[in-house]
Amino acid sequence: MLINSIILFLRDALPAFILISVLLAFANQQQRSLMWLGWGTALGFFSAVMLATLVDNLSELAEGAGMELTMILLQCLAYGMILLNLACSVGRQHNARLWQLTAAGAVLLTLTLDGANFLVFFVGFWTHGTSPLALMLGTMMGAAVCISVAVLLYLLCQHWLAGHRVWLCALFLLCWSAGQLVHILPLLAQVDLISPLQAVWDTSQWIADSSEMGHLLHSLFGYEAAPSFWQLVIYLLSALGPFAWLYLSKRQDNAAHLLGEDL
Amino acid sequence: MARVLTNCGYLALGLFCLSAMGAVPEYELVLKDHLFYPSKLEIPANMKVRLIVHNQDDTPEEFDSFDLNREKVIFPQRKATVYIGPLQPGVYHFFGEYNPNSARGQVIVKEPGDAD
Repeated sequence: MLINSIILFLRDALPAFILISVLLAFANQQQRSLMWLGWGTALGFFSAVMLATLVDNLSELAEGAGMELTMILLQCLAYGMILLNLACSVGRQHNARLWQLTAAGAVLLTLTLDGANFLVFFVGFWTHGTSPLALMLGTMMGAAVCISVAVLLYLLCQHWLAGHRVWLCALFLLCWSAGQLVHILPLLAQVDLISPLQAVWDTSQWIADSSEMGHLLHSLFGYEAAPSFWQLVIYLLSALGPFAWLYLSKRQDNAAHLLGEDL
Repeated sequence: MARVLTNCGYLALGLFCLSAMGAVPEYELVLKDHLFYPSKLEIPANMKVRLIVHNQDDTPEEFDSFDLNREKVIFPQRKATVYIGPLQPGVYHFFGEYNPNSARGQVIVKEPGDAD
């Protein structure tokens, strides 16, 4: 139960901690208000409770694919929010209100997705659990691991942003969100909406998905020991495509700005 | 005429879908007292199968498998469907995420006609 709770934290809670760390580093560096964090977490917890309450009936919809389809929709929305947010942080879009809205939206959606699964597990075990002490210890240790990773990541992002390496921060956030996004493919295959996925390679001999390191890397970058071809394609397109677009548009802006100064 | 043809097209598509759905073999797993029954499930190689997991416990459970790349929460006294395969012959492990020490099992994939 102890290890199980820690792994559950790594899998379901860590992604939200990672997202908040990176957004917080951007917000502090760009001196933005922290309204997004309050609204995002409050609404995220509320909607996670709502989803956990509804999930029982939701999963019966669409011939048993209701939950998967909901998760896919929320995941795509979260990815869209992060793209818009990055466009405000490092791209051409400088709308402060849009930044706040998209940051709150991304936190809300991530907390909804991950929090609902978490609540299903915890409510089930707090009401019927036979080892509450192990569950409590596991919860504390899991929370400690997540907070530690989040603080380290926040410091790393702050270091990057202070050193004008904003692109490293943006690339990390894109890799993280692409890792979350590609998770929709196994969900689609699971409910028979796409053809089964065939693995391109298998690195489970080195880092197994089931290991603590596998869970950590999965939460950080969407690591899969045996990814399929389409998972790789979607990962690369959703991480590097927007990165290239943001980078090129910023360079064009800078070039135009320099030209204006020269004239 | 065009309407009749369209309706015939829909009918043919429906029949095709029904026959396609019927072609997928179905297997059932039962979860009781945090144990899977059967704990070893044999399925044919190179064929997609529909796996129905029936949770007879009074706590939720997540059917999870790294080997099969599947995870699905099954609520108490509910059934859930997960499609798996086509798979190469071999042993694929699965477990209950919330009770990984007790709820464990294997999908054993065999070529048709393969004897023990």
